[in-house]
Amino acid sequence: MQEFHEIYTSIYQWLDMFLISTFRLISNPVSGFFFGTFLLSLWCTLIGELTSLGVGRINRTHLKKLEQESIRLHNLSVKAIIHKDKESYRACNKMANEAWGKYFFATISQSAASVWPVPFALAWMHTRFEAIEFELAYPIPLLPDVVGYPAVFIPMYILVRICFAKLKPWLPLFHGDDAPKLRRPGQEDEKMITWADVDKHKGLPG
Amino acid sequence: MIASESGWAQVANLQEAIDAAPKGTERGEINPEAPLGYLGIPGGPQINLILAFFWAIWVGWIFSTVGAFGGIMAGVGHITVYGLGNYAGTFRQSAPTINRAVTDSIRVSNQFMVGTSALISSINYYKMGRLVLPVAAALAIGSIAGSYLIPLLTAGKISFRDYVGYFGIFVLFLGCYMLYETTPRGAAGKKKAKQAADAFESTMKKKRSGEKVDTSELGVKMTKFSLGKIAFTFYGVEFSFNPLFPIFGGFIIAAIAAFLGVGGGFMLVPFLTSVTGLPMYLSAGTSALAVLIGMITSILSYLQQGVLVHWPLIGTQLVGIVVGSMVGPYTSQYIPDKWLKRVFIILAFYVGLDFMARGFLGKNIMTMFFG
Repeated sequence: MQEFHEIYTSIYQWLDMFLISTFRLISNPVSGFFFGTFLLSLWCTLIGELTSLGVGRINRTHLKKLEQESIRLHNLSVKAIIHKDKESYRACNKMANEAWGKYFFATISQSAASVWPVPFALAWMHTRFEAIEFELAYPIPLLPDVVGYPAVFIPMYILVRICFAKLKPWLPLFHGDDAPKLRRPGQEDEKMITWADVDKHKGLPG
Repeated sequence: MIASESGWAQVANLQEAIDAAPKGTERGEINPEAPLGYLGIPGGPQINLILAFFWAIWVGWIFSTVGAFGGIMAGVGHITVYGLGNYAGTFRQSAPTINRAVTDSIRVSNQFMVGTSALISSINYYKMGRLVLPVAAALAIGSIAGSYLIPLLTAGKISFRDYVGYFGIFVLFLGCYMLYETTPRGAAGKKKAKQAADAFESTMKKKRSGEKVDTSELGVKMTKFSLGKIAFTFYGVEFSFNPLFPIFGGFIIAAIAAFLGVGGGFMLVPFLTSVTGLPMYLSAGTSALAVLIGMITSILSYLQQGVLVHWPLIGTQLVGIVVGSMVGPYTSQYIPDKWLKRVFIILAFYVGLDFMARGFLGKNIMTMFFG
């Protein structure tokens, strides 16, 4: 246990040194704080996205199975409504919603995998920047007049996530879903019938 | 101090309560010499992050195999497993502010745990155009009201015992619902839906694929819009609902979710399907957005009241959930659904009754029955 504690402490010290050094890259303290927070948001986004990618690959078969079941039942409900069969629509829709519920909760891991570094980043910032305060130029509902480091980190993180999502198609590792390569002939997935498809084809597509 | 100058009252109040609490080493006393623990309280519980990690694996496992019970188990972890409940309880008489601050921290921590998914899925559904904005707006009005009001009215005012009691009622209700689903009557409803869906599927298989279908009435057409009734045809089939239902339903669900510190998604989806008749394609996205709006409002409202959060605990739990959800699919195939359901019914009854007994009678269930 003692050894574990020592390892934990030395990892923490190393990380602390590494993270704070990025806040000191710019000599002006305010600019340095904003730049450091930007880099920290970038780290959180990168690590989160990489974890999410890994988890996605491990859980892919299971998630695909759940997704396919909800798509199958949804498509059935579309067919029922197109045939003006209200009772079958209600039944199929109820089943589709249940199947989707399972899929929704199973995808929670994916969401948690992409955001887990954020609370740790906030915990570390608390140890370093607890006393920092910014006065808001304009009052924002639900926020006090003076805010702390989370009010800089959280919007910065959201901005970085949005930019990252836009850049994804050009980034190695993140640029696409490689799932189609794994499917064998005859194992093609059922595609979800969207209402736009129904409108476009004046009925059921295909 | 930021807290005292900016109106984040609870942070300042907690410090004042720590200063004012009786000093010593007995129950309900603060030992100023002790190392800082949970929320920076001297002598407060030192959260064992390894234990929290393993408990979160269990929560993640439930999320990936059962679904709704994950939020409840996250709550059980905060209340019982990490020792926060017992600790808060010791200050019931001597320092009620500390008791309430720990209670609020548990409530908001639960919401962080269960709310992250709504954010990402809502963005995806919005991109796919899978949101019905008028219904989402109606739900959102109710959700915002419920999620804002509950923390505003209850933050800093709910004692740990009350919270645990109400949490117990909710879990017991969930247990009863799960039990009802396994009864012949409850199962019949589900079976009927499955039979109707299967019958329709086989009819579709028999029909030739190129069959002509009358789709002269495309999409949704509003036929009546008043305060009492919204009627519309959906591809020529008539549906109607009372517009006040989504507002009222959104309010009630968000209020329960904010009070207990749960997501509420598992209550919203069945509500939307049964009340509005929305197809899954649209109700999934609409409910995810409503959960997201409710969660953001509620978390911000709690934070505005100055509720304190233990960030390393939240982070550790998120990692545990990820691991648990990865393990889930590989293990659940060996456990039949029926058995899984029975285990959770027993668990729901035990947790529900135990929390109710603790909350309303001040005793745990084991003491009540076995002395």
